[in-house]
Amino acid sequence: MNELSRPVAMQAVTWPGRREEGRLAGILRVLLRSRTAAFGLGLTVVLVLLAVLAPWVAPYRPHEIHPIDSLSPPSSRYLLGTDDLGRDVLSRIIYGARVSLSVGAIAIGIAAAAGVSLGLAAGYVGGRLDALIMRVMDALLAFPAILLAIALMAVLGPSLENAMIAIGIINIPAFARITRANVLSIREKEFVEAARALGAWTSYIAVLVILPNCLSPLIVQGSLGLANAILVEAALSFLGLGVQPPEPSWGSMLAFGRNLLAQAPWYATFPGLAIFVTVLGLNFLGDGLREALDPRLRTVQGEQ
Amino acid sequence: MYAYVAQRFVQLLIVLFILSIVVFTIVRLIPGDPAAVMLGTEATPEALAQIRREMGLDAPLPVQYVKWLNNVMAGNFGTSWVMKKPALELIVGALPVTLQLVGASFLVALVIAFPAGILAALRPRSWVDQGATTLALLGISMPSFWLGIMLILLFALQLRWLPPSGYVPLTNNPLAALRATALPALTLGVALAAPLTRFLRSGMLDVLALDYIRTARAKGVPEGRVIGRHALRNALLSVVTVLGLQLGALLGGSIVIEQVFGWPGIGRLSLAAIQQRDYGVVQGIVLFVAAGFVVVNFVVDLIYLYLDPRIRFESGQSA
Repeated sequence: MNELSRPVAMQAVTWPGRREEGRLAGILRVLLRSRTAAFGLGLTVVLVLLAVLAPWVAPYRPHEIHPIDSLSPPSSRYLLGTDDLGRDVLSRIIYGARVSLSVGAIAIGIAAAAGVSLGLAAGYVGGRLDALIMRVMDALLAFPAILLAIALMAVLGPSLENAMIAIGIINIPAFARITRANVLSIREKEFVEAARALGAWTSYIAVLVILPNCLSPLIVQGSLGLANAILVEAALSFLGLGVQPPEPSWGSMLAFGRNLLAQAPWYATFPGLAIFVTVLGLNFLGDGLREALDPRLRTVQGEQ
Repeated sequence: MYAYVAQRFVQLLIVLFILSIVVFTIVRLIPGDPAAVMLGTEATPEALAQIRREMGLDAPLPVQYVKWLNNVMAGNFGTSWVMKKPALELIVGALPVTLQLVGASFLVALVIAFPAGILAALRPRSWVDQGATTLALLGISMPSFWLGIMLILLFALQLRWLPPSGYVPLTNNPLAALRATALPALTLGVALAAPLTRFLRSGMLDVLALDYIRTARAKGVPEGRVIGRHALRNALLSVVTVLGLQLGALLGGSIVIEQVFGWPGIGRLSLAAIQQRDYGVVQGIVLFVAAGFVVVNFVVDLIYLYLDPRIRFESGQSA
């Protein structure tokens, strides 16, 4: 490659990626046009803000005990009631948002990092490496997701960090498959051909030319995967395998609330409602993103 | 066609083989080796070494794997160190409980999803469609264990219509079993009905847009027949494929729901085993369930083959 061809190659090959970025405002506009997607986006933003601002928003500390007020029903002092130790359920739900969102986000981060790398390698290099990676992904998919998460938690031991790792691992195959499928459809396109003809390195082409063009489906998978990761974290914590008490987690609050259902129905009701609303918001957002990012889907719907 | 079945069977064996390696690896990754877990506080270096030798843990990993695989093939899934029983015996004992829950939930899901999915597809963008799609998204987003707890709250604690928890075998007392199964089956059934409704709706929409449906209508075939015989049969194909995968979700869900309703099934057994660090049983359950899941998906593929003559003919020509 001579000195002149390099900048030309860069321009040519990064162009589709840059156009993607330029469309960000357009994507947001399409997203906000759909009522459900806007609702999902709004809900998610509110939840993230609540989690970040928990110390300022929550009426009490999450571990603050009020023994006299144990199991008191919702009132003006405790908006969503208290648990058996007299801790404010609302405050614990707000702090629980930190746990749920961070476990979900880090788990999906792990899954995306590993899955995208594997999918990229499988799709671009192909051959035996492809077969090996995809067969291992198939084997991971052969486990029911919750069962695999439970088995991994049994191996790793129950804790917040291990829940992130286990939930991350069960989400790897989805990212790997999506990346691989997109890489296969893109790698024979002209602009990739052009980069190759100009002598760009394989890793340069894979990461800087092909990957930016696979982003849309990955972003959609990210938001839907996040919704699912939060559900799985809640299930693991509900089973006592995830986040350990006294750390406020929606799933473990639900587990304790289930045992006090007759005396304090609010204790189980509200943490579950928090999970439900969070996951619903992310699913709305994911569905909306799918419509906003997939031009094919958009025109089809516009025509109807 | 036979070539296709044989090819799928070979694929099944390969997946099972990789599965066994994954399970073996997971079990070997357990921190603290089994010998130390067995001996507990009485572990001396000499005793540890002896147990390791007896259990074959000092052999190279591939040797250990082959030995382990041989045992599994012979039906020896490991032993419960806590219960002093073969893991397989415990699993087979808990299996009817889980199957009763999974079977009943499956029925509930079909009863909800079929009318909902088909009606939604017949009148796209109508209020029926919007209602069904919204409910399906709500169902997908709802944590099933929370729904279960809410159902207990309403039907058992408030209305007192149904028992809040407990398992009754169907063979003992069918009526009591039905009452005991109603809430857990509804809980898990709703969780499965939600994605199933979505698949049925989109499957039906795809098929209804095809030319042969227009031809059938143009010929004057009654609408009920067009839907029932022409469209639904084809739409079922896409549903059958996801059904196998959804069965895994159903199995996973039953682990959680058993805990909500206090059913002594596979889920209960695996949680107890994990809490007691009874890894023989954990390993047995993971292998058993995963293998069962793979085999079920193989059977689903065969059903698919039976339902879709196109695959039969195409593979017949290529073979």
